[in-house]
Formats: sequence, structure tokens, C-alpha cells
Amino acid sequence: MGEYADVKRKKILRMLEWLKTQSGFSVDNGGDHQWVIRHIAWKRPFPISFKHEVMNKFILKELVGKIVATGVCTKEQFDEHLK
Amino acid sequence: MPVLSPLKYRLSLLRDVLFGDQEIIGEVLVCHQNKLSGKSVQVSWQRDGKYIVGSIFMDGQKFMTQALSAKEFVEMVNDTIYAAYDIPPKYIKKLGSDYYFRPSQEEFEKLNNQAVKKAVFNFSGTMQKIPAVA
Repeated sequence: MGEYADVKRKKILRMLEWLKTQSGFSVDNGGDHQWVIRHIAWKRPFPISFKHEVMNKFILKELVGKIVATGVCTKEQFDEHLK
Repeated sequence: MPVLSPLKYRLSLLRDVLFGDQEIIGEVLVCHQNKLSGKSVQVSWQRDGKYIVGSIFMDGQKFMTQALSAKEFVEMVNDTIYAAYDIPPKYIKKLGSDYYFRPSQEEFEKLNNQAVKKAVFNFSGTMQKIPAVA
């Protein structure tokens, strides 16, 4: 599975506050329980649920892959914002 | 626009219901329904600790969600899709049952069965086509 563990929701929120300041990204709320991450190169936004106290590691791994693929940061830089 | 915490967002939704503009414009509703019409949805899921974690494949895109129970999982899959397709909460309630993805009874029982660790299924085949507007 890799090195990620489930991450607390408040850390995700803090990371999203950083992410929305990055070029090409925007973050808002959607649905009933979602944070919605958008990037200008993505066909559709990537919603992540805030319904539970933690975000599951599988979802986090998918999110990291999508964000790193945009070139906005490296995985290591991303990880810094989850601390 | 700020990223709202879960509590603030839920309060903002409640404020919209109580004091906001709840008018549904028919053409806008049809537009939102059209985004989902005819789309097939495949969901693969696995158990990870107390969570059911799902990957949703729709329209060539992959989304993910998590839930604590089978019932919540179905709700979260739908909530994720509505968010991904930018359907506002006040329109979600008006989409109609044809635009709510449901697993079959057998698939739902697998979700409920702790002995089943993972599975793949299609949510009700495809979304319904839009009926002709009178």
C-alpha cells in the first residue's frame, strides 16, 4: 500500500487551504459532505469526503498521485503540508 | 471563496434551506439531469479497517469515497458523483430517483457482509435517459 496512513480531517483541511493558493487549483465545498478539488487540466473535479474524522489512506494516495501529476509539487512537498 | 470546515458547511446548507433561494428552475434541473443521463457507473470497493473504501469509475474518470456502513456507502457514492458533476444541493433533492445509483440487493448484501472483503459492481446499469419535456 505504501507509506500513507489514514489522515485526520483537520490536517486535510489545512492542506486544502495551501492547495487552493497553488496555480491552477481551486477548492470549495459540494454535495452534502464533500470538499471539491479542481484543477484547470482535470476534466472533472476530485471530491473528497469530510464526513468522517479521518480520510482513508487509499483515497489519500489517489489524491497525492493526481496532485503530483499536475506538477505543482513533489510528493515530498505535498507530505510537508500534511504534517 | 474559503474552504469551509464540515460544521460551517453544514450550517451554510441549513441556512440556505431556511433563508436562501430554494427556487428550482426547470431548465437548470434538466441541465443537471443531462450531465448524468446514460452514464454507466462501476464501483469497486474493499474493506479497510472499519471503512468501506470505494473507487467510482464514471465517464472515464475515477473518483473515490469512504463509508462506515453499506447504507452510508451508497449515499456517499451518490454524494461524490453529485459533487463531481457540480450539482448544487438544492437540485440534488429534485433530480428524482432515476438519478440515484443503487446496487442490486445481492450487491448490497455483499456490502453488508463483513466476510466479503472486496467486490466490483455496477450501480443499476446506467442512469435513465431524460424523458421528453412536455
